[in-house]
Amino acid sequence: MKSLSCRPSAAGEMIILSHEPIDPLTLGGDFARDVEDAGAIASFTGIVRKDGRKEVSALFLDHASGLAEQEIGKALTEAKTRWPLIKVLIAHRVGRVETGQPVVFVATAAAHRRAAFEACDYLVDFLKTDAPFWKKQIGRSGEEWIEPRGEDYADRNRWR
Amino acid sequence: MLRITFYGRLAEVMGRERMTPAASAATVGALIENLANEDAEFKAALAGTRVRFAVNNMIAPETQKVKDGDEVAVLPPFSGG
Repeated sequence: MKSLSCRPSAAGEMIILSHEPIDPLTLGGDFARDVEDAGAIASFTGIVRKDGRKEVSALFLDHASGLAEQEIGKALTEAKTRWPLIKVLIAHRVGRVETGQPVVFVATAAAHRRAAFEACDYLVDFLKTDAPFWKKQIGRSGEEWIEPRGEDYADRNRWR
Repeated sequence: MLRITFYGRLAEVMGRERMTPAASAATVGALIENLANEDAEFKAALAGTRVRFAVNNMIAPETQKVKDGDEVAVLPPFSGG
Protein backbone atom coordinates (compact mmCIF):
# COMPACT_ATOMS: atom_id res chain seq x y z
CA MET A 1 0.00 0.00 0.00
CA LYS A 2 1.63 3.18 -1.17
CA SER A 3 0.55 6.01 1.03
CA LEU A 4 0.67 9.70 0.54
CA SER A 5 1.30 10.30 4.17
CA CYS A 6 2.19 7.75 6.81
CA ARG A 7 3.02 9.38 10.06
CA PRO A 8 3.73 7.58 13.29
CA SER A 9 3.29 10.62 15.51
CA ALA A 10 3.42 10.33 19.28
CA ALA A 11 3.97 6.90 20.81
CA GLY A 12 1.35 4.42 19.70
CA GLU A 13 -0.30 6.74 17.16
CA MET A 14 -0.36 6.24 13.42
CA ILE A 15 -2.02 8.31 10.69
CA ILE A 16 -2.12 7.04 7.10
CA LEU A 17 -3.56 9.06 4.21
CA SER A 18 -3.47 6.88 1.12
CA HIS A 19 -4.08 7.37 -2.60
CA GLU A 20 -4.04 3.58 -2.99
CA PRO A 21 -6.59 1.03 -1.72
CA ILE A 22 -6.36 0.26 1.99
CA ASP A 23 -6.75 -3.29 3.26
CA PRO A 24 -8.47 -3.48 6.68
CA LEU A 25 -7.36 -7.08 7.21
CA THR A 26 -3.69 -6.25 6.70
CA LEU A 27 -3.91 -3.02 8.68
CA GLY A 28 -5.81 -4.76 11.49
CA GLY A 29 -3.37 -7.68 11.55
CA ASP A 30 -0.35 -5.38 11.75
CA PHE A 31 -2.08 -3.28 14.38
CA ALA A 32 -2.71 -6.32 16.59
CA ARG A 33 1.03 -6.97 16.82
CA ASP A 34 3.08 -5.28 19.54
CA VAL A 35 0.14 -4.38 21.72
CA GLU A 36 1.43 -5.55 25.05
CA ASP A 37 -1.00 -4.95 27.90
CA ALA A 38 -3.93 -4.51 25.51
CA GLY A 39 -6.92 -6.60 26.48
CA ALA A 40 -9.13 -5.15 23.75
CA ILE A 41 -8.89 -3.98 20.18
CA ALA A 42 -11.82 -2.30 18.45
CA SER A 43 -11.89 -1.33 14.80
CA PHE A 44 -14.18 0.31 12.29
CA THR A 45 -14.12 0.03 8.50
CA GLY A 46 -16.10 2.51 6.42
CA ILE A 47 -16.99 1.36 2.90
CA VAL A 48 -18.23 3.34 -0.11
CA ARG A 49 -21.84 2.33 -0.62
CA LYS A 50 -24.04 2.41 -3.67
CA ASP A 51 -26.59 4.61 -1.86
CA GLY A 52 -29.80 3.24 -3.35
CA ARG A 53 -31.24 5.13 -6.27
CA LYS A 54 -28.21 7.38 -6.63
CA GLU A 55 -26.29 4.31 -7.86
CA VAL A 56 -22.98 5.71 -6.68
CA SER A 57 -20.07 4.19 -8.59
CA ALA A 58 -17.29 5.95 -6.66
CA LEU A 59 -16.39 8.69 -4.23
CA PHE A 60 -13.78 11.33 -4.86
CA LEU A 61 -12.09 12.56 -1.69
CA ASP A 62 -10.37 15.91 -1.57
CA HIS A 63 -8.31 16.76 1.51
CA ALA A 64 -6.22 19.59 2.89
CA SER A 65 -2.76 18.09 3.08
CA GLY A 66 -0.91 19.08 6.24
CA LEU A 67 -4.01 20.46 7.92
CA ALA A 68 -5.66 17.01 7.79
CA GLU A 69 -2.75 15.29 9.52
CA GLN A 70 -2.64 18.07 12.09
CA GLU A 71 -6.37 18.00 12.90
CA ILE A 72 -6.38 14.19 13.09
CA GLY A 73 -3.36 14.40 15.38
CA LYS A 74 -5.30 16.73 17.69
CA ALA A 75 -8.24 14.31 17.77
CA LEU A 76 -5.87 11.45 18.65
CA THR A 77 -4.45 13.51 21.49
CA GLU A 78 -7.98 14.29 22.71
CA ALA A 79 -8.95 10.61 22.49
CA LYS A 80 -5.91 9.67 24.55
CA THR A 81 -6.81 12.17 27.26
CA ARG A 82 -10.36 10.75 27.44
CA TRP A 83 -9.52 7.04 27.33
CA PRO A 84 -6.44 5.08 28.38
CA LEU A 85 -5.41 4.00 24.89
CA ILE A 86 -2.37 1.90 24.21
CA LYS A 87 -2.34 2.27 20.44
CA VAL A 88 -4.45 3.97 17.80
CA LEU A 89 -4.49 3.97 14.00
CA ILE A 90 -6.40 6.06 11.48
CA ALA A 91 -6.10 5.17 7.79
CA HIS A 92 -8.11 7.34 5.38
CA ARG A 93 -8.35 7.18 1.60
CA VAL A 94 -7.94 10.22 -0.60
CA GLY A 95 -8.59 10.46 -4.34
CA ARG A 96 -11.03 8.18 -6.14
CA VAL A 97 -12.50 5.26 -4.17
CA GLU A 98 -14.77 2.77 -5.96
CA THR A 99 -18.05 1.51 -4.52
CA GLY A 100 -17.44 -1.46 -2.22
CA GLN A 101 -13.91 -0.29 -1.34
CA PRO A 102 -12.86 0.78 2.17
CA VAL A 103 -12.62 4.54 2.59
CA VAL A 104 -11.55 4.62 6.23
CA PHE A 105 -10.15 2.26 8.85
CA VAL A 106 -9.83 3.14 12.54
CA ALA A 107 -8.38 0.85 15.20
CA THR A 108 -7.95 1.39 18.93
CA ALA A 109 -6.25 -0.75 21.56
CA ALA A 110 -6.80 -0.45 25.30
CA ALA A 111 -6.66 -2.59 28.43
CA HIS A 112 -10.44 -2.96 28.46
CA ARG A 113 -13.15 -3.08 25.81
CA ARG A 114 -15.17 0.00 26.79
CA ALA A 115 -12.26 2.39 26.19
CA ALA A 116 -11.44 0.73 22.87
CA PHE A 117 -15.07 0.83 21.64
CA GLU A 118 -15.73 4.39 22.76
CA ALA A 119 -12.48 5.85 21.44
CA CYS A 120 -13.06 4.19 18.06
CA ASP A 121 -16.62 5.57 17.94
CA TYR A 122 -15.37 9.03 18.92
CA LEU A 123 -12.69 9.08 16.23
CA VAL A 124 -15.08 7.99 13.47
CA ASP A 125 -17.55 10.72 14.51
CA PHE A 126 -14.68 13.22 14.41
CA LEU A 127 -13.66 12.16 10.89
CA LYS A 128 -17.22 12.57 9.58
CA THR A 129 -17.61 16.22 10.53
CA ASP A 130 -14.37 17.75 11.84
CA ALA A 131 -11.49 16.55 9.67
CA PRO A 132 -10.65 18.47 6.47
CA PHE A 133 -11.86 15.95 3.89
CA TRP A 134 -14.49 16.56 1.21
CA LYS A 135 -16.49 13.83 -0.49
CA LYS A 136 -17.97 13.94 -3.94
CA GLN A 137 -20.34 11.17 -4.98
CA ILE A 138 -19.95 10.05 -8.57
CA GLY A 139 -23.13 8.30 -9.66
CA ARG A 140 -25.61 7.61 -12.39
CA SER A 141 -27.09 11.10 -12.25
CA GLY A 142 -23.75 12.91 -12.21
CA GLU A 143 -21.48 14.25 -9.50
CA GLU A 144 -22.47 15.77 -6.19
CA TRP A 145 -20.41 17.15 -3.29
CA ILE A 146 -21.92 15.83 -0.10
CA GLU A 147 -22.01 17.35 3.36
CA PRO A 148 -22.56 15.70 6.73
CA ARG A 149 -26.18 14.93 7.63
CA GLY A 150 -27.84 16.29 10.75
CA GLU A 151 -27.33 12.94 12.43
CA ASP A 152 -23.59 13.11 11.75
CA TYR A 153 -23.41 16.40 13.66
CA ALA A 154 -25.66 14.96 16.40
CA ASP A 155 -23.32 11.96 16.70
CA ARG A 156 -20.32 14.28 16.99
CA ASN A 157 -22.10 16.41 19.61
CA ARG A 158 -22.52 13.39 21.88
CA TRP A 159 -18.88 13.83 22.84
CA ARG A 160 -19.05 17.52 23.78
CA MET B 1 1.41 38.15 -1.92
CA LEU B 2 -0.96 35.74 -0.20
CA ARG B 3 -1.70 32.24 -1.40
CA ILE B 4 -5.37 31.26 -1.13
CA THR B 5 -6.19 27.57 -1.44
CA PHE B 6 -9.70 26.25 -2.10
CA TYR B 7 -11.03 22.78 -1.33
CA GLY B 8 -13.97 20.55 -2.16
CA ARG B 9 -16.64 22.14 -4.31
CA LEU B 10 -15.02 25.55 -3.91
CA ALA B 11 -11.93 24.22 -5.73
CA GLU B 12 -14.15 23.37 -8.69
CA VAL B 13 -15.34 26.99 -8.82
CA MET B 14 -12.07 28.79 -8.06
CA GLY B 15 -9.34 26.34 -8.98
CA ARG B 16 -7.00 25.06 -6.29
CA GLU B 17 -4.94 28.19 -5.75
CA ARG B 18 -4.97 31.91 -6.29
CA MET B 19 -2.42 34.53 -5.41
CA THR B 20 -3.58 37.91 -4.21
CA PRO B 21 -1.78 41.02 -2.91
CA ALA B 22 -1.55 40.95 0.88
CA ALA B 23 -2.51 44.61 1.03
CA SER B 24 -5.94 43.86 -0.46
CA ALA B 25 -7.46 42.99 2.93
CA ALA B 26 -6.64 43.10 6.63
CA THR B 27 -8.43 39.94 7.74
CA VAL B 28 -9.36 36.55 6.35
CA GLY B 29 -13.03 37.56 6.33
CA ALA B 30 -12.35 40.75 4.35
CA LEU B 31 -10.16 38.85 1.90
CA ILE B 32 -12.94 36.38 1.13
CA GLU B 33 -15.56 39.11 0.96
CA ASN B 34 -13.43 40.96 -1.61
CA LEU B 35 -13.09 37.80 -3.69
CA ALA B 36 -16.83 37.17 -3.52
CA ASN B 37 -17.55 40.72 -4.66
CA GLU B 38 -15.26 40.26 -7.66
CA ASP B 39 -16.61 36.86 -8.62
CA ALA B 40 -20.35 36.15 -8.79
CA GLU B 41 -19.81 32.42 -9.16
CA PHE B 42 -17.74 32.31 -5.97
CA LYS B 43 -20.33 34.43 -4.17
CA ALA B 44 -23.07 32.01 -5.24
CA ALA B 45 -20.98 29.03 -4.10
CA LEU B 46 -20.54 30.60 -0.65
CA ALA B 47 -24.23 31.44 -0.19
CA GLY B 48 -25.86 29.43 2.57
CA THR B 49 -22.63 27.63 3.44
CA ARG B 50 -20.71 27.90 6.65
CA VAL B 51 -17.16 28.13 5.36
CA ARG B 52 -14.20 27.82 7.71
CA PHE B 53 -10.65 29.05 7.27
CA ALA B 54 -7.11 28.07 8.04
CA VAL B 55 -4.11 30.38 8.05
CA ASN B 56 -0.72 28.71 7.72
CA ASN B 57 -2.25 25.30 8.44
CA MET B 58 -4.05 26.40 11.61
CA ILE B 59 -7.84 26.70 11.79
CA ALA B 60 -8.50 30.44 12.17
CA PRO B 61 -11.50 32.72 12.72
CA GLU B 62 -12.51 35.14 9.95
CA THR B 63 -11.26 37.99 12.13
CA GLN B 64 -7.70 36.66 11.90
CA LYS B 65 -5.29 39.23 10.47
CA VAL B 66 -3.35 38.25 7.36
CA LYS B 67 -0.01 39.44 6.06
CA ASP B 68 2.37 38.97 3.17
CA GLY B 69 3.42 35.36 2.70
CA ASP B 70 0.48 33.86 4.59
CA GLU B 71 -1.28 30.81 3.23
CA VAL B 72 -5.04 30.98 3.59
CA ALA B 73 -7.23 27.90 3.10
CA VAL B 74 -10.95 28.22 2.39
CA LEU B 75 -12.75 25.17 3.75
CA PRO B 76 -16.35 24.21 2.96
CA PRO B 77 -18.10 21.95 5.51
CA PHE B 78 -15.95 18.87 6.14
CA SER B 79 -17.20 15.44 5.16
CA GLY B 80 -14.78 12.61 5.78
CA GLY B 81 -15.13 9.05 6.93
